[in-house]
Amino acid sequence: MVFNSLSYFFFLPIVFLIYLVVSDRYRWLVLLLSSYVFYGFLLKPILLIALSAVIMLTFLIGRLIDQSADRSVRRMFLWIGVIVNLALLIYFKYLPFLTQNLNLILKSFSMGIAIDVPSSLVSIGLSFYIFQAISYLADIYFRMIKPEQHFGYFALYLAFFSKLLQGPIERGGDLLPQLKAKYEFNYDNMRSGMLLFAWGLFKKVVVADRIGLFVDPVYNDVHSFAGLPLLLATYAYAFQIFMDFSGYTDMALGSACLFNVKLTNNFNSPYLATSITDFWRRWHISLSRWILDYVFDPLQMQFRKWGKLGTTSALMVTFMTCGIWHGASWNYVIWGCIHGVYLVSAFTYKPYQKKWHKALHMNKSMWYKAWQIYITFNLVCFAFVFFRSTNLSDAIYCISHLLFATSGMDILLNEQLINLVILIVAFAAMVFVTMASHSMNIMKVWNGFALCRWTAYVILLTVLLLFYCDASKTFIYLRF
Amino acid sequence: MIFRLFAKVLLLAVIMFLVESGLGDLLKIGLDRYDGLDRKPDILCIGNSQTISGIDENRLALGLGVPVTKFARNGVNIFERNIMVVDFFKQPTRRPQVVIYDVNPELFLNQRMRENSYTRFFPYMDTPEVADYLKTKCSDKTEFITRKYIKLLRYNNPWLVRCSIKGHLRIHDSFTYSKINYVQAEAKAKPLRSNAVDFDIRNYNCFIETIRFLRSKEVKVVLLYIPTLDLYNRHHEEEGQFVESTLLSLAAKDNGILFLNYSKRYQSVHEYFSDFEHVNRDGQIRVTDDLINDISPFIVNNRNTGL
Repeated sequence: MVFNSLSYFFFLPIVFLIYLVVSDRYRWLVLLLSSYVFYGFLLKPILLIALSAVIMLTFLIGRLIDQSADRSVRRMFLWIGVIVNLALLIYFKYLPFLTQNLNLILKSFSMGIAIDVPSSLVSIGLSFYIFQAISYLADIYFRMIKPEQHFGYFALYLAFFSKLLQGPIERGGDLLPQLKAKYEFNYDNMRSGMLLFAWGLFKKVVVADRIGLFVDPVYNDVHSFAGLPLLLATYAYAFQIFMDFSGYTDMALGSACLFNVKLTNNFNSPYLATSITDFWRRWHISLSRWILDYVFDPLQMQFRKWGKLGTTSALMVTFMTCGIWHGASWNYVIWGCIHGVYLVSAFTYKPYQKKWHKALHMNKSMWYKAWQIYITFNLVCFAFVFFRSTNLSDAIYCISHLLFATSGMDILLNEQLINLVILIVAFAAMVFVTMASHSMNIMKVWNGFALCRWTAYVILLTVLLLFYCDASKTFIYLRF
Repeated sequence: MIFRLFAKVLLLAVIMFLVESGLGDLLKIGLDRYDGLDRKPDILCIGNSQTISGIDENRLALGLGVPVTKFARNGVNIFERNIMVVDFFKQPTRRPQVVIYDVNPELFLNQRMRENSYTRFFPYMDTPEVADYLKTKCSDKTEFITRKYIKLLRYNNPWLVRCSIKGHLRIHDSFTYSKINYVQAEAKAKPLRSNAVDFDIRNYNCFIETIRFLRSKEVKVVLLYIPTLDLYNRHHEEEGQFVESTLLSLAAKDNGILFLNYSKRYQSVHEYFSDFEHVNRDGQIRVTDDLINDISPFIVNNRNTGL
């Protein structure tokens, strides 16, 4: 079940009503069962089995780590937990990709052996909850948290439907106490949750899917285009993926709010980042924190004796991991590598930055900041070419034809002018709402006048009904 | 607090119901006005985007001195046109003298029509024939049921909203000033061949059924071939000849049927075209003026005078 489906619009209120009427003692059970129903709607029983296996194994290994006093035994259990979880992820997500590449290697060495490529399995949500499971085990190993004793609460921690399919990737220390807390009905939480859900839905179905009408024709047939359409489609994709994923996150946060659970916000105006480092502090925050804590930091510790080379190596490995996490394709690996190169360059340049700025009389003016934002955004967009392209040859074509003479603009705009107008109005509305939410005076009016709020609710719902775009039934990050 | 929440949700639902049904009705009124369904026309133009771009409704009405309705949708297939015709004649007060039905070489082919052209009929789903047709076309039951009960969802197509707004503003113009770049068009002309699929007998039968229906209502039928570019015609020569001979034989058998082939007249006047299949404003004026001359003998101008 996805958040933008009719079934979810019935599912959520029903779950909430049941949650409301049962006693605190069984509320975890309501959420756990509904999470399984939610996941079961994908009609892939194997996914339910995988989820149950991860829950049971992680719960068991977590306790074993905690019970062992010997550091080497604890470490052994941690590695068993990590390897088992990763093996499951590889089996579901990466096996066809690995086999194909292994066959290529075998072929290049003329070994005359070819392994049958297994068909790819649906792995929706797997990479999110497996990362959560690994972080849970690592946190127990580092004694940052105590293992959860109640199996039901632990299962809910991994399976909670609000964040099951696309995250946010939550830490045990953050989510478990919230799930175990006594529920008290909070009207403001409900109101803000429902509004956040509707706002996320607007971002997804009115904005992101509509941008897709311009992006998909170009990226699904790049060879029919050159120059401006490729450039515009690349910029548009940056906004499509942001609106799609942040829309999803808003809906996840909004849904969780109904149960008094506060999930991590994944985004903080990422395209206003002044550097790539800053970008990763603002983009997919739960993932970037995860890879920083569980991949980069341990690697940097391991490589510390190599000095600067150790840090750069750690950065490259971390971002390659980040790339491959997104999908079993070289496109994602290259996307990760590009970000790795950006960060390595920033790390190498940093000691000289102050000196150069002083020598070139560059100060921290508003214009300089705007220039940094512009450059960062373009670097991010450049990497997105690999992220969005169907294959590597399309990505290379795209890059090599970005600045060519324009062709195919008529195909891109063919009968899409009305959608362009809707997008411009929607963007203007979003800018207004974002600015208004930071204005004390407007917030005073918003909180003080019910008529103002209700008018906004009705307008938002009307726009959703009238202008939702059913071009895409799923979210971009669902396939990761 | 919980009851306060439920009361507010209920109140919001009631308000939303009123707003959406009111707005849905308002959009329908606008759309009917845009389509000319609020009138009792003497001339009814039925067709697809070629009719939209090819016929100037106001010019035709002024030229003939009778009310005209242009009920056309982008990308409609022959079955959808049949539904449009049947739906139009549902109201007994609508008794046009002439129906102008646009034709082209792909008329009987299993054309590569828009996959979602049926969505443009959701506003008319209260008519049983339209509802039956939509049931067969909707991707799932949910799509049909949600639109049956939530009127605003029927307009979940920016084109319909735009038409409705134009209807309220009484703007019936629909044309483009752009002119085709013939050199570029020649380069692009090749793939057109692959669009034509085999002749489909169901299309032919449906077309004949529509014509018989119209003739049973004692309506004169003008089968109008709005000009398409010579490049297009060359690539559809075989199909074009078949359609032409079929329509000519229909017209020969029945005095109430007139076949007008404007494509032969204007296919080489490239400045009349915006693309392969559509005329621009200049082409629209030329087609409309010729149409006025050719069909005026068909019209008995007695409505306005009350004779």
